[in-house]
Parts: sequence; structure tokens; C-alpha cells
Amino acid sequence: MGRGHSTQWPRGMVARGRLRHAGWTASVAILVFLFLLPLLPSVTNSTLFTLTLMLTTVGVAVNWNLTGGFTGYVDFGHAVWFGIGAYTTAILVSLQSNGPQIGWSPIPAIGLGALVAGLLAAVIGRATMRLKGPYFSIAMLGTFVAMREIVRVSGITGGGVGLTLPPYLNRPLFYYIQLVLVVALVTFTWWLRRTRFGAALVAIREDEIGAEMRGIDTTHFKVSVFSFAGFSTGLFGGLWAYQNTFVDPDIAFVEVRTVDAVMSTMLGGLGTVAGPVVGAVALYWLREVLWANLLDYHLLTQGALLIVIVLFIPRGLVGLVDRRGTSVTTLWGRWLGRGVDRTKQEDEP
Amino acid sequence: MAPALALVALAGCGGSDQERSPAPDASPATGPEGGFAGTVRIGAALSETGKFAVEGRDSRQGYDTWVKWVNEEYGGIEVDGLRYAAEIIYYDDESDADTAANLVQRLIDEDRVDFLLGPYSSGLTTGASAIAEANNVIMVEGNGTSDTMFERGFRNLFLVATIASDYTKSGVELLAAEGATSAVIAYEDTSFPTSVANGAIRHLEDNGIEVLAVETYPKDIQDVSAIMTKFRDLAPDIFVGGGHYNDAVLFVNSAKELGFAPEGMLITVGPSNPKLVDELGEDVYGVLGPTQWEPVMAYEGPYFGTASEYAAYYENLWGEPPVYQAASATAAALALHLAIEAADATDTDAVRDALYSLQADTFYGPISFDERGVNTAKPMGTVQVQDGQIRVVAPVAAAVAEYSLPATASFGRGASSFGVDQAAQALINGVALGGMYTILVLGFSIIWGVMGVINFAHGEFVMIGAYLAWLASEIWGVDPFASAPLVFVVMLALGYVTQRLVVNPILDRSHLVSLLVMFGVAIMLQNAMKLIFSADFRRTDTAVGGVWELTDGLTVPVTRFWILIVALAVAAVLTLFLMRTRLGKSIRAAAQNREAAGIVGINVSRVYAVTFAICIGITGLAGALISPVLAIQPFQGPPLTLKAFAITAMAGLGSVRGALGGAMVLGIVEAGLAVYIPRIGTNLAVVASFVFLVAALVLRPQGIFRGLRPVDATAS
Repeated sequence: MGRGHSTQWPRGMVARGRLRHAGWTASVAILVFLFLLPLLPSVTNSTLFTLTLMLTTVGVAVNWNLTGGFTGYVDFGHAVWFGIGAYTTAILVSLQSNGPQIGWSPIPAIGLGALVAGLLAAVIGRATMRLKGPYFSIAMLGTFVAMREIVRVSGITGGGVGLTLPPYLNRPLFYYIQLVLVVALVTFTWWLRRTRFGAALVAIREDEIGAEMRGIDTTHFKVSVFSFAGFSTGLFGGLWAYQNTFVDPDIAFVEVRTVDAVMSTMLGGLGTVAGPVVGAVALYWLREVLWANLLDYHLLTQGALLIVIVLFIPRGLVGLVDRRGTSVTTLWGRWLGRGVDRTKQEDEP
Repeated sequence: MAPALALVALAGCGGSDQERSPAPDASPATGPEGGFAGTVRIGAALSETGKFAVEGRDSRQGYDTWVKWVNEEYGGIEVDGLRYAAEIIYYDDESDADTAANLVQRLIDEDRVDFLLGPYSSGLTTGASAIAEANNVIMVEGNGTSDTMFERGFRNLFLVATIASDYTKSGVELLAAEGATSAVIAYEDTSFPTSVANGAIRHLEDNGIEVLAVETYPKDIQDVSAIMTKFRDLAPDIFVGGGHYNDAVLFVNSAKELGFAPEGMLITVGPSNPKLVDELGEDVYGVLGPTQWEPVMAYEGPYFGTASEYAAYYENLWGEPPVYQAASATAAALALHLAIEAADATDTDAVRDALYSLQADTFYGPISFDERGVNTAKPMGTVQVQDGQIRVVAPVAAAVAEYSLPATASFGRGASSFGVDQAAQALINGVALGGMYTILVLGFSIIWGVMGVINFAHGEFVMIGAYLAWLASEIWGVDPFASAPLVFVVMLALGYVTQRLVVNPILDRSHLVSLLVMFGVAIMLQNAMKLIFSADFRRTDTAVGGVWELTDGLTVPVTRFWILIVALAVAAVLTLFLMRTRLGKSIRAAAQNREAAGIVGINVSRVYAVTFAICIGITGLAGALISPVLAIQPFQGPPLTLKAFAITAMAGLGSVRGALGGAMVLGIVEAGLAVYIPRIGTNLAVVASFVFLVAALVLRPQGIFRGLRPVDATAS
């Protein structure tokens, strides 16, 4: 515990060469399919809604990975930005009698919701990102719980009763909006990883003090990316609020959104571009196919799965297809090694 | 979140044996039986799992009672001279809003249902009804009663039950007639309880009763003593309170513990449930509560007969008497049935018109919808627990018993102030709370200080200790203070095993790995305990309960006082152990420098296992001690873990004195907030520890006190 960030993260490079080529082809094919999907006659609003909810999980996971994966700041309260985006949108749009009755149209409301989330993330991040490791994680968890209570006791938020929005449920429209957003976000992540900005983020993860010594303004970089992640998750929160047509503190601020983002990213591959996407889709599939038959046991298995991923496949699914794939023997070696972090050695250049 | 398994109950196959268990096996999907001209397809998303699993099952049994009755007894829904079988397609919404919305969309698009019945709870119904409205599908429901969803001008949503804001109407009228003049209100600040409370304030004022104080509290609250202390000092005639069943347990317990005895206690959810009487015994006698429906009510209609005949039919099917959630569900389905027959059609517009003009007397009471779609014909009933029996005392039309005043009470005592020194009382409460926090935090602090592991499952070990004490008290009738040493020993063993199996392999891994693994352990423990013990709140009884009255109405809560004494004793023994014994010195050595400790011949691995075992033992002991004070339930852990983290990070890792000091500061601050901040004080107390934590870490990242291991929040 606590022996420096420098070596604990999987390198997170997606496979190169042929694998990369195949990956590109597959991604483009899947994208084309997803864009044409609503045109198929057999595809109902219900299917599109399911996919839209999945895209929400994907989007939040990609945002979480920006700070959690790239800068190494593990945010246990990321769902707070989702809740703020959702609530700001609801406050601006709702016409409920106990609300402020501003009555904006959805697009500017969702946009402003994301901006509010991003600005708050910048302000709160400035304070909390001075903290490292578990201190940052728990401080963010505290921020999340505190924000939910603040929303609960404020007047403008409708208090515990929450706010209802007009039911304008155009499933294909929201599907396309979120699909475009997720594609843009993943592309952005891919591009970011290749810029000096992205290099600075990874430098912060690997050795923050060292990065600072080389003249990198670490506060600027990490708070910027944290704020962007807040903005982007706020966007998904606003879109969600509009589709759910209802927010109250307990459905807008849910721990599960953070847990899902963490689990998706860990499952797919922390600090990789494709990891959160792969992980979120895999998580959805697991729930639909496997856990649906376990009913009450599914949370139990989810806890167990988290432990297994963290201990045995710390490089995630994306890491598994990498050329230095994790074999069963290394898994056993890792368990028997007890306390020796093999990932460290693997990742040494 | 994802939509789960479909459970399809088809016409006439609702046999009691196969339906009673929430097992995932779907009923055989046979077509409608011969003799029917077709099928009316109805969809419902209900909670089979998650926090509404129990109420979801009751609602489903209610719907299935109607299906069975309409297909087998009644002979099918009659439309245009033909008989149609009723079929309900169910999905499990997992008590989750996203899933419920997704499933309702699926029912409309893919299952192409003709009508919808409501899910359980206001939150889920609010989202689901919007989808029904947008797709122009009628939804009739009986278990989502918050006012906000009927303000939206929906044309397709109908509620057979009484709306939330009228829950307390008949109870308040009854108490006003008995001479009550003052009241206090406490409610959980979530959608449904807030609607109920807003309505209660209105009804109280309409009846000339002065509202002396209003307090809100957060969901899953575990301790209402601050609120009850405030209320006791106001000496109101009536207490109106509640949110959910578990809150009723808290309020009755806390009122007893603190000596708060208003003449009328009206608790919104709980008193109508026989479980509460089983759980609390004589303590709950005299308490009033609203009820949508009771089998003894004097209602009757041409379908199902009287309320008690319906109850008998239901019990015959399911082997248990119907709760009102089940009756509301049956009534919702019945209202839809009657409207379809009145319209003589199944198209939405005709049935909607028929629903709006429906005037029916049923076993559930009269049904007639106003322009919002709310059934305003049926008044809310009020029950009172009288000598262990739940009796209906209001409204007059449905009442079977007289309201009886608790023997010791009389109205009109008036709000005579005790002249209590609020600051002194807040200090006493705060120190008592601090004592609890001390014993809760010690194990967490030492583990972090010695091993550098943040035990994210700390609260779960408290919870397990509390359950062990509860088991001891259920099986052998042992007082939790007496069983605490035994719990300590059991938890010692559990701690040792946990350390060897789970903690040891992650010792040197990054903080992310250890946090996530312990988080996984926490999720597993919560859900394992929920499977074993269900999510119901439990509590233990202790001989050292009640309050000591000091001068001027100042009171000391006895149980907490003794917890404080034990906490101080444990802290003293632990300090001596760490400072004076050989093993204690080894532990400190291992904490300071693991490698060096190993070189001088200390078996660090063994020291770690022993440390973890002792700390989990203390943590379990803490759980046993707080079991009479905080409600025992599978999900009580996370807030305790966060408190332990906050106190430890502020007070120094592994510092016994720091833990004591930090716990006292937090306890006093929380008690002060709860007493001095009106209305939202209890909510703010929840936030206090986090604000403290973030502020302390940001302003002084190196920690405030020195512990075994330096706090350094800016280095990883």
C-alpha cells in the first residue's frame, strides 16, 4: 500500500499491429451498424431505450476513466456530477407547482446543467485534488453524500419530493444524441491520449512530484480533466433526467452509477481508451444473461466479481487480448505470491 | 439496472403453491383456455428483488388474485357479449427507476399490452406513468400515491388508493375531536413521506391544531434521538411521524428510551402492520396509523363481496392474509376491469372515459376518479394498536372500534416548557454519541495505522456483530451487554480468517486494489446478510435502557452512557496492551517499520493477523453494544465506515487517544446541529462528518493528531 503511484497502473496500451487493425475494422463496422439500427423495422423504442441506458453507463465510465484511469485519481463520488446535471436540467425545465417553474426548453437546459456540473467540478476539484490516494477517494464520496443532502433540503430542488419534467419521450432522438456523444467522447479520449496534455496526465499518474519538477503544472492539468469529466457526466445526467421525466435525490444521486463506472473500467481495462466501453457493455451483458437468473444473488456475485477482476485481471479485458496476455499460470502465481504485486514487474519498461 | 427475467402469469394458472415463492421459474406459457374469445393483455413491472421486494410480491399477489378470480370465478371480462381472459405480463424492475422505465417501454412496444397496472412505490410509478402517458396507454395503480405525479395533467393515470396528502386526514380529525391542540411532525425527506407530511400540516391547521415543530430526517436514518429530545421538550399533544416501516420502530423505541410520551402518536407507515406489534410488543400500544384498507372494514361490493370475504379468498390463494398493498393492487385491476366492461371496448379512449365516469362500490371502498385520476371517494382509514390488536378507529363509516386514550395520558396538558438547558442537553447527547463513535472507530483506526489497510468493510463487521447479538437475544434471551464478550470472541475468529484469506494478499497492492477488494467484500457481506436475515430492521432489548432524569428535565440516555463506559474501558485496555505488552510492542514496531521489525525477529505476518483479529473483535463488540440503540439491518454499514474514516483521518491513524477525541468532537457537533438547527438539523448532522473530513484534509493534510502512522493526504 502506498508505495508510490509510479508502477501500480497497467500500461494500458491497446494491442498493436494486426490486432489494432482488426480492432479498427470492427469498431467502424459496429458504429455503422449502431447508426443504422433505428432504421430497421424490427427495432422498437424499447430496444433503443435499452441501448440508450447502456450508452449512459458507457459515457459515465469513459468520463470516470479520464481521471481514474489517466491521472490515477480514483473518484468514488463521480455520480455527483450526474446528479447535478440531472437536477439543473430538471430545475430549468420543470413546471411543477413547488418548483421554480422556469420552463426552459431542453437543449439549453441540458447544456447549462453540464456547465454547472463542470464548474462545480473545477471548484471542488481544486480543493479535493490536493489530496492523494484514498484521501481523495473518500473526500469525493463525502462530496457525493453531502451534495445529495444539500439537494434534499434546498427549496429550489423541490426537496425530497423531487421534480417532474414534461414527458417528451423521443427514443430515437435521444439514442442518436447519446450515440454521437459517446463516439465523440471516445474519439476525444483517443486523441487526448496522444497529445501533450494526455502525456501530462499519465505523467501525473506515474509520478506527480516528478512531473511537477519537470515544469508540468499538475494542478492545471488534473483539475482541467476532472472538470471536463464532470461536465461530460453532467451532460449525460441532464439527458437522463429528461428521459426519466422525474428526479428526486435518491434516484438522481445513486452510488450505483459510480460503482458501475468503476466496475466497467476495471473490467474493461483501467487507463485504456477502449476499456470502459468494452467493460460497460460486458457488464450489461453479464447482468442481462447471467445475473438475471440469479435474482437476489446478483449483488453477491457482483461483489465477488469485483474482487476477482481486481486481484486476477487488473489489466482488464482489453489487457487480456494484449500481446502480454494474462495466462492462468500468472493468475495462480499472483494469488500464491500473496502481497507481491506482479503487475508492477510486468509493467516495468 | 438491466431488465431482468420476465415472469409470465397466464390466465388461470395462478395456483397458490407455485406462485407464492418469488422463484424465477416462469409459469407455463399456455394460451388462454377454451371458452374465451380472446385475451386482454395487461402489463406490470413489479419489484421481485431490491428494496421493494416484499411490497412488490404483495402487489403481485393482489394482481394475481384478480386474474384468478376474473378467469375462474367471474368467467372472463365481458366485452361486446364475448368473454375475454385476463392475462398479466410481469417483469422484475429490481426496485430500480431506470429498469422500471425500460420495462414499461418494453411492455408497450414488444409485448403490446392493452393496459398497464402500476409498479410499487411513488418513485417508480412517477417514471413509469410518464411512459404510459407518452404512449397513450392507460395505467391504473394503487401503490404510488405521491401528489406530484397527479399534478402533471396526465390523462392515462388512475389511482384507486387515497392520495398521500390525505393519509393522515381521518387520524388528525379523530385526534382533534378528542381535544388535541398541539402537534409536532417528523418525516423522512423523500417523495412519499414529504407528500404525507405536507398534507398532515394542512389537515392539522384545518382542525385548529398548532404545529409546534417540523423536523425532517434523511433516508435510512438509524437514530432519531435528537429529534425526539427536541419534541419531548415541546410537550405536544400529538406526534405525527414517519416514512417507512423501519422508521416506526425507531420512533417508538426512541420515544420510550427518552421518555417522550405524547397523548397521540400517529405514525404514517407501520401501525397497520402486525409485524410491528410482534416486534415492539406493549411499547406500540395506543399508537395510531393510517391504512388504505383493512379486512375488517365495513366495505362491500358486488365483486369479491365484503372486505373480509375478499380477505378470505386471498388467504385461501396465498396462505397469508392480505396487506393493504395487496388489496390496493386487486382494486386497481378491478377498477380497470369494470371500466372495460362499462366501455364495452378495449380501446384506450373508451376505457379512459369509462374510468372517469366510474362509480363503484367495492370490497376496497367506493371508487370514483376526479379529473386528476385520483380516487377521492374512498377516505383513508386510521387504525390503533389496542392491547396487541390492530383496530380500525376512523373514519366512522369503516370503524369497528372506539379510539382509546393510553391509560396514562390526557389531552390538554399544553406545551409547558420544561425550561431545559438546551446547551447542556446537547452536550450530554453529544458525549453519549461520541462514546458510541469511539467504540465504533477504534478497530478501523488501528488496522489502518498498523497495516495501512483501509477497511472499507468496517461497517459490515459492525453489522455482523449486531446480528450476532440479536441472534443471542432471540435464541437465548441474552442481553446484548452480556453477549458482547461472546460476540467479541466470534468476531476475533472471523477477523483472523478474513485477514488470512482476503487482506493478506492485498497488503502490498496499491490503495485502489485494497479499497476495491474491501469494497467487494462489503457488498458481499451486505447481500449475504440480507439473504439470511432479510432487510427488515431488528433491534435488541437491554436491561440498561431508558433515561436518567437529572435536574431541570435534563436526561442521560442510559444505554449510551454504558456504551461510553465500555468504550472508555476498551480504549484504556487497548492503550495498555499496545504500550506495555510484548505483542503490543511488536504491533507498534510492525506499524513503524515493517522491514526492520522483520529483521529483529518479529513475525510480521502473524502480528498483522492478530492485529486484524483483535480489531474485528472490538468492531463486533461495538456492533453488539449499539444493537439496542441503532436499528440492525444489512445496509447499516457504509455510513459507519465513512464516519470511521472521517474520524480516523482527522484524528491520526492508529491513535487511540485521537480516536476518542475525534469521536467526541464529531458527536458533540452532530448533537449540536440536530438540536440548534430547526427542521433540517438531522440532515445537516449527516453531512457534518464529510464537511469536517474534506475541510480538515484540505486545510491540514498532514493530520491533526499523531498516530502510529503519519497521516499524509498529499502523498500517496
